[in-house]
Amino acid sequence: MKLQAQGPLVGVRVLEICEGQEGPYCGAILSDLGAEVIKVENLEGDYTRKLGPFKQGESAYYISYNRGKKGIALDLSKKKACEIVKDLAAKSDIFIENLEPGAIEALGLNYDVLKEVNPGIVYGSVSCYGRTGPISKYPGNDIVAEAMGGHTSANGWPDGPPEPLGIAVSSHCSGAEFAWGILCAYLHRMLTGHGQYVDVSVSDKNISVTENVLALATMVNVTRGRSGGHHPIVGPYGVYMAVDGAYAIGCGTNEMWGRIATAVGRPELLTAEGWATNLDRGKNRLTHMIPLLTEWGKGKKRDDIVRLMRDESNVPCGACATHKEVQKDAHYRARGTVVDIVQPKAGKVSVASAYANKMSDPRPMVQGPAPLLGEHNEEILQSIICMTSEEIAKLHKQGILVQDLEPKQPT
Amino acid sequence: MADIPKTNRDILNKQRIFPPQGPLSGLRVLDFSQVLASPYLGTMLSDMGAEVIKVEASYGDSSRAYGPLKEGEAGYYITQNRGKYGLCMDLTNPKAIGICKELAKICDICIENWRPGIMTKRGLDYAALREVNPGIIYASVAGFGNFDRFAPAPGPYSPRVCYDVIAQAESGHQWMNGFPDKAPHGLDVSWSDMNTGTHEAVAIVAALIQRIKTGRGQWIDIALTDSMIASNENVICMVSMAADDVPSPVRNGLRRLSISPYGVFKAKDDYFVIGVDNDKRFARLCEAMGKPELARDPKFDTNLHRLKNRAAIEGIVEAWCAQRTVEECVKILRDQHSVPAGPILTNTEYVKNPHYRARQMLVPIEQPRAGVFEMEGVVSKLSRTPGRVQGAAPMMGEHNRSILKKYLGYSDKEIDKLYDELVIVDNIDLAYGYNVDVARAKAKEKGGDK
Repeated sequence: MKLQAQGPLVGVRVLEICEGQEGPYCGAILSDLGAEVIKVENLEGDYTRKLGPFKQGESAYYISYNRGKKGIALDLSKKKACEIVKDLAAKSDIFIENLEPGAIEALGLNYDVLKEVNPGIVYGSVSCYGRTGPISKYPGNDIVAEAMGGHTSANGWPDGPPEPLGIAVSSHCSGAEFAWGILCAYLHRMLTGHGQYVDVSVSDKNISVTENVLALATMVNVTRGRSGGHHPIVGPYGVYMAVDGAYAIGCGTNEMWGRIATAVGRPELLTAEGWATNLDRGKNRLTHMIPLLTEWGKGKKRDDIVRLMRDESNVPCGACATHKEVQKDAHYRARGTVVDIVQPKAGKVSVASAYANKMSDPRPMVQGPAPLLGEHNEEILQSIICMTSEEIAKLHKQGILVQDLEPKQPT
Repeated sequence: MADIPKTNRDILNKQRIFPPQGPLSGLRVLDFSQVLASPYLGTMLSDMGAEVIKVEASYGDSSRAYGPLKEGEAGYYITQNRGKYGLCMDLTNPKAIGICKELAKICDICIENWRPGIMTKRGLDYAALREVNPGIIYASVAGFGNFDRFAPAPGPYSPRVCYDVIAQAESGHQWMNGFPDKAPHGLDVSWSDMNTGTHEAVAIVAALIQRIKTGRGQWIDIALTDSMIASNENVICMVSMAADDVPSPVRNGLRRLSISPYGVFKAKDDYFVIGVDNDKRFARLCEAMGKPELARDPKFDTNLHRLKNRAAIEGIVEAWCAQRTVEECVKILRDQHSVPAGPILTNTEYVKNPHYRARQMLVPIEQPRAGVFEMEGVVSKLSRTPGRVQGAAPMMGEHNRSILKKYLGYSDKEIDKLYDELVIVDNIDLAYGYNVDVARAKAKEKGGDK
């Protein structure tokens, strides 16, 4: 499958030795923005190839994080394979990795080595704890970073256990942070010619995206608890149930509360004691607001409630959409946020991009499908380091290059 | 202003922003941001060395009233606006708009997150600013995107009012957050704002790279819902693979939906997390629990098999955890067997954590009234051109005078006149206190912006 590059980073070459989430998501962003991203995989491939669900042997997980990249696969336990990666790095602008602590050094592909063959290279590592600090020697992932960064402790209900975030939004946020660090360094290189090393920790990013929560600790020494996602000082501001789903409402002012109270048939609550101010409604959310709206929502359909609140009462309100709805929604299609790509085996599937179509000149786009294991071995080695077909065939025969163009559907 | 008391003069005279340091030093940003998404973005730009000039409407950014409060200064505002210069003006006044346009000429980037249409009404939208500066990179954040002229990707929902809580809902995140037998709930913080700010920062630096090659600027318009939909792991692709009659996935409580064992577990004394996302790490977990044979058990040997026998394998892990404290579990799993695992920390715990200290993630700044306290450091650590927290957050209109003098060559007399005409305002004289409502009333009374 041929990739089409369009976007502000056309002409930039990225070599990616990443698996899992944050690193590959950074690669996907750079690809969306037009860069040529070459994904280097080991014998078995990125482990997300084994995370489902699957269609014709291709993994939804892998596709989501690796669309728009070219793929080369090698047996990295062989020295020759690492030499080839080094040769590719010599011809690349950016190198990103997120292997377990110590692994990239073991392959002889750490920054100190690569800057010898390519002094201008921008080299980035993303990891759970970063590459410095007392616990940097341990592996981790998004769920650990969210816990270490104070999010898990505050996600859930006051009387329930701490809950992990339902979806690993932190891994995407950190992947974007990684792309930011890398591109800042690349911009510097464009101006001065100097490369450098970029170290991003997912835990660090987690404590950076805490709104006012860190200041709560350092300014006034207050520990944040769980609030069920309901705002503690304004209300109603949170998620409520309907008979067939849930909806979110974000009320900021008393006027707005008046409109909500009227919509639910309780206009007297606008001025009633315990309900009249934002502070009251926030404070009494568990005893007043949640029971009121839960009871009112019984027997009412989600979309009817949203229509009543948002369209008729002018209150910020939205459906808690399911992913099926998001995937089919005309708005996100119009914006290019949800796009269809054609995978070599799985056929037409949808992926999401924050960038496709969102910049005016030139417009970024999802470049194409995710690669099968080693799909572009030949193309990459021929076009970048001028290997002949004979040499490449020999490397395949020796097991230095690997390829799996017929992935088995796992059972 | 003639009647500033002496102590406040002292505040004005103190330099609380350092000379810029980082890969973006030399770049200038005009920041029309409010509350969270774009303020956070402006802070990322400042951390990397850009000179960020925040322009507030005369009633101030509403986050100046959000806690925690100390000596009238808001932790919320300071966190999202440290290291910026502060201008405050009546954005309904044509003279103020003229000043903004003059500033746009000497800026590289403009960021804003007003409701779609407001910047057009003010005469400060992309179309207006690119007339005075064709190279400007204009970055908007809205809930569902912008829809007026030149908007890169308008859609049917673009006119809707949207806050973080709505963006979390519409992007599928809330439906997946919580227990399946209970109502879903909002995420712990306003993730959509900060996630979008981060994504937008990437687009801005990509546009800067592009501008070096072509000289042209552009409009970037990433919506809260866009960045959140893109941050859905495998789920969008998952539902596209499934047949139409397969229901959309639902929240899964303490464990992530498509990986096992991966989530919150209960030890003897408290909860903690384990994240086993591949077979190699599963083998280490089995080793750590003293049951290496489980890794070869056909019921558990692959993630797919573990998902099929989820209750069984997670039951084994739960039983093992229940006999040990969190400290023991983490020591055995993380430290001795390299299994991703860790404690669940609160904010007052992680600010004391030595790891974050070693990584300089807690950096002291000095605010004029709240004094010295620590805040988040710079996340991306660059070896050659590191960024830094460039300094304090501004008081309302703190740099009115210095910015207008420095960049637009205004004299003190001209600036006094702008103050008298209420084109520019500040709250340094404390007549407004730091209370946003009072400031708003005062501005209204004087016929200012609303």
